[in-house]
Amino acid sequence: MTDTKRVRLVRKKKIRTFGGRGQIYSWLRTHHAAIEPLKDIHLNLRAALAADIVEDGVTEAADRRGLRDRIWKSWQRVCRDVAAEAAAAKPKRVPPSRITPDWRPTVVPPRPAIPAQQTASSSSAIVPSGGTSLVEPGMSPRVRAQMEKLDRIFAEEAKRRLPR
Amino acid sequence: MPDGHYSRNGGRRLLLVALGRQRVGKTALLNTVVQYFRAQGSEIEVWNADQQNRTHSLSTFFPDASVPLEGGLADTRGWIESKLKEQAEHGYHAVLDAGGGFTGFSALVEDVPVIAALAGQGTDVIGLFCVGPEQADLDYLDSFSQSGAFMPEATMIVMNAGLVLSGRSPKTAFAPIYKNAALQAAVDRGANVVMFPALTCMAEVTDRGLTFEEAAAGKIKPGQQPMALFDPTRVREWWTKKIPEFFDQFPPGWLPFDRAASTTPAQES
Repeated sequence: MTDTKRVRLVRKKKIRTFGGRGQIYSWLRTHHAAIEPLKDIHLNLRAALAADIVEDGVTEAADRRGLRDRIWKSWQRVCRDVAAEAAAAKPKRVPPSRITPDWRPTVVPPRPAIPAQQTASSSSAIVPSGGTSLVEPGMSPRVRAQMEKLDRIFAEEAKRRLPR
Repeated sequence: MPDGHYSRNGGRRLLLVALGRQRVGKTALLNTVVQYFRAQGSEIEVWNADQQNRTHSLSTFFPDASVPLEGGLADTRGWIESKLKEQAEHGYHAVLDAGGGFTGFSALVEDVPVIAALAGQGTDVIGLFCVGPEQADLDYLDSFSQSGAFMPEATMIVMNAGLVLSGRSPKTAFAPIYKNAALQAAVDRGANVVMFPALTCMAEVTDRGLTFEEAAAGKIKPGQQPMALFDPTRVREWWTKKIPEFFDQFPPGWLPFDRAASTTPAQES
């Protein structure tokens, strides 16, 4: 027998239903606003959510096998749906244009052609604009695949940085 | 009751071994692995055989870390062997910080074909070769692979972006590494190459003995100075975005997931 009571992660609410979605999804969506601020700081969010969901008698959670992963996948879907809904709900206000009617974009002169050897070696690699690929002629298919993977990672990194 | 071939939760157990020269980030990498997967519920034992590094050793971050008694190489080798036996009996994942230079672990792999022997007992060995941007950082990989002493099928070559201090981009700084013959030979044998993301305030976190969760939450221990204004944000960004992206590049079977909480994608759908 124990005299301690588990502290819930979120306050219990009446669960809304979301057409075509499961019970775990509906539970998470109903509590989204309460969970969102905790997602980056809670030490063991998935376990705490699982405990609340089980406590609330969600039947989909009766099978505990892989429950925390199922919760996590549903949570990611909830976040995507909430974000999409918020974006769709935003009023699209178009400010009056201050641009003169005869304005035309500046035309950027074409870049010099890339040497043929480089084009051939990096044909399938995704490289940031102005960057070079790590893929080189003569690399084996496995090495090439690894270098292309790194190219993609560096390209993503470069996108996040401000121009220097 | 574990049957000796699987972790307590029914999956194959893993032994992750970090190797490399001194000061290439072996401890930082294993510290990250253990914190990340323990937070997800995985049962991971920490074996700290790095006897050179006292201030930032795994024992600083994990009070439950096992350390060998002080002694020579043969003693450390014997200690590692006994820990491997315990792992087979109890069925948990484990990480081993072997330390740099010629270590008790080097002595063990020179002595017996550890990878094959452990595979027979249900333990998969994952080699984490940590390298900085210097060619010499790959000597370790080269010598282990040339001698055939230790080159698991599951090998990650971890380029540590935190070692690039000159203001250059990691892509440029690691240019000599991509072209290195030892790296390319290892990749041809099945190794994967990944970039461990830099955390500019890593020393601020580790010097305070904070976990990444604590640092991200701006926790201050008694008697400590608070971190710089944006450091908790930097840690949060690294811990919640860059580190998950880093582990996403690993084949899932090479990571110490909590098998009870995990199901395959087929089971999910």
